[in-house]
Amino acid sequence: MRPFNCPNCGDTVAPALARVKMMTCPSCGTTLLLEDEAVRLAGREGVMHAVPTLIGLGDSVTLGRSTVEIHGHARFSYGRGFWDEFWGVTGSGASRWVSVDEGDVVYQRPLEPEDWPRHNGHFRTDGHLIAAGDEFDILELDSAECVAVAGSFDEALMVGETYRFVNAQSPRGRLLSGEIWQGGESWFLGDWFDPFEITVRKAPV
Amino acid sequence: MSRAPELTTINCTSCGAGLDVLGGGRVVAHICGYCGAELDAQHDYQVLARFDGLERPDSPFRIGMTGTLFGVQYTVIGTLEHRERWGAQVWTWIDHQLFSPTHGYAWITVEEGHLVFTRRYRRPVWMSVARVETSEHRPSVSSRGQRYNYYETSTSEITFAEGEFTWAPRIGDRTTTVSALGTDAMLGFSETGTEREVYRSTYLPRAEAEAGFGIDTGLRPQGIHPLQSYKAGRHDRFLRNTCLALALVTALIGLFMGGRDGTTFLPEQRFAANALPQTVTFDVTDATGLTDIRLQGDVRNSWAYLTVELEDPEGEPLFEAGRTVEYYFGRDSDGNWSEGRRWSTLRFRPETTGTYTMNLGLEEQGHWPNTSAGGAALSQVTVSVAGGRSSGFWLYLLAGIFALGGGSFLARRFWHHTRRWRGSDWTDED
Repeated sequence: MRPFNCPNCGDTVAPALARVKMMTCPSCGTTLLLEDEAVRLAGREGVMHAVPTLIGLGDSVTLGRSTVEIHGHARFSYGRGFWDEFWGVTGSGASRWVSVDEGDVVYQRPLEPEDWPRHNGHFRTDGHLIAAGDEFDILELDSAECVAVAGSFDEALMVGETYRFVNAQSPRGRLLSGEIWQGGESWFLGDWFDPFEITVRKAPV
Repeated sequence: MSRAPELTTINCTSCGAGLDVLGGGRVVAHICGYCGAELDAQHDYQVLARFDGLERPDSPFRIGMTGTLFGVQYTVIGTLEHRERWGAQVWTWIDHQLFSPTHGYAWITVEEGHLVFTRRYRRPVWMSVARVETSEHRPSVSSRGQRYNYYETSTSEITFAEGEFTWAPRIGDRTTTVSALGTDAMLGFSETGTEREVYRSTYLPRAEAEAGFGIDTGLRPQGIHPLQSYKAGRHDRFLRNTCLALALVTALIGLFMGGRDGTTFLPEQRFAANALPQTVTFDVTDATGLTDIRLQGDVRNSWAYLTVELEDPEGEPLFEAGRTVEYYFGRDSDGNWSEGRRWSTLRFRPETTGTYTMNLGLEEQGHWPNTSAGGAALSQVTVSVAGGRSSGFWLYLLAGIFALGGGSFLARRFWHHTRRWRGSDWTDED
C-alpha cells in the first residue's frame, strides 16, 4: 500500500507491509483501519504502560528455526494484570503471533477456518478440542480486554473490545488458542518456548 | 500475566502490616511475614489461613532482594522450607520463589550449602511414580537431546512459608516428586490434583549467585551435589591423552628393547650335573649392551641352586652369584598345574671386550618333599651367553607411571560420577 496521510493529524503514514490491515499513527497514536485504498479512523491506541518486556516493536525474534520480525504489539488486560501479544512476519512473509506472558512464550500461526475445532461456543476446562489433526485438553478459559495497540497488524484489533480466550494443549505439548469475540473468532496453533531459548535482536534505536 | 503496574504495596488484611507486592499477575497467595496469615492475592487479599509461630529458616536470601542470574534480573518474592523424612533421616531445604517481569518465575533452592536454580519445563515429557515402581530397569526419559535417568522419588512437606507464591501453599502440604538426572540438569515430575508439573533444575555456582545478588552467602557446600557436573581442568583432556599416548609409546619401546636377541657369545653348552663344577670361557665381542648368562636345568618337581663366578679378560673376579632353577607340576581337583621354571638368567654389563672365564657350580639341590621320587634332583645343566642385549624394564616402569597418570583423570571422573549418583534410591534388584 502506498503511503497516506493520517486522517486525524495529517502526518504521512507508510505501512511496511502490503498485508497490514490496521496500524497506529506514529505521530498522534490514532488507530487506523486500512480498507483497500481507504483509511478509516478506529479510535485511540490506548495506553501502553512502560514495563520491562522481552520483545519490542521492530525486534527480530528467533524461536527454534524460525525468525519473525515484530510489527505489532497488543496488550490485553484481565483486570488485575495483562499480557502482551506481538504480531510479525517470517522471512517468507508468513503471519505469526508471539504471546509473552510472564516468562511463558508461545509462538503460533493462525489456523485456516477449515482447521478450526468444532465447538458450540461453550467451553469447559475439562473439555477437549480436535483441531489440525490433533486432540487438545482445554487448560484455560478467560476473557480479556484489548487495552493498547502499537505498530501494525494484519487484522483489526479494537482497543476496548473484550475477547474470550481458550487455551488447550495436546499431549505433544502443542498449544491451541482461540479468540472469540462478538461476531467472530480466530484460532492459532503453536508451541511453548523458554525465554532463555529464544534470541531477540533489538531494533536499532 | 503481568501484574497491573500501579499495584506495589498492600496492607495485610489480618494484621495491617505493609507488604510489598513484588510478584507478577500469577501470584495466587501472599503469606504475611509478620502474622503468618495467608492472603488470597486474587480476591482482595482475604485471609485464607493462618500459620502462627513459624520459625523463619536461616537463608542468605531475603524477600525483596533483587539480583541478576543468567542475564535476567530476578526479585525474591517468597520463601518455603521443606522437610523430607526417610526412616530416622531428615533432610531440609529452602526454596525461594523468584520473579522476573520478562522471564517469569523461578526458584533458588538452598540445600546443604549448595544452590540450585529451577524453572518450569513445558516440554512434553513425563515420568510417573507408577512407571518407576513397575520398571525392571532404571527408567529414563529424553528431552531436547538430553537423557535423564531416574534418580529418586521423594515426598516432602512444607514447614515454613512466607511471601508471594503462584499457588496457595499450606504448612504440612506434602508433595511427591519423581526426579531424573541428566548430564547437567535434573527434571522433577510432580502431580497435584489434576495438574502435572515438570521442573528443570540446574546447579547454581555460589560465586555466580553471590555476584548476581551482591551478597556473601556464607554457604559451605557439603559433598558433591547430584547436579554438579564434573568440571575438568582446562588441560585435563590434553594431559590425559598425552599420558596415555606416552604410556603406549614407552611400552612399545620397552617391548622392542626387551625383545632384542643380541649376539651369541657362547652357544649352548651341556654338562652333566654330577660333572660340575665346570670352567667355561667365552669371547665378548660387543661391550655396549647387557650380557645374559642363561642357565637351564632339567629339574622335575625338584630344585637346584647353581653358582656362577665370572672373571674378566684380565683375570680379575667380576662377580659371584647364584640362581635357582625349580619346576613343580601335578594334578589336583582343579586339573593340571605347574609352578616355577627350569631356567634363570644372570645379567651383567661387561666393561670391556675379551675372553671371560666362567666357573659354573652346583651348590645345592633337592626334591619337593611330597613328590620325592629319589635320585638326583638335577641331571643336566645347559649354559649359554648372549650379549648386546637391552632391557625394557625401566621403560615398562615408565609406561606404568604414565598409564597411572592418564588413568587418574578417568578415575577422578568416575569417582565424581559415583558421588553424584550416591543419593539415588534406585537399585537394580527393584
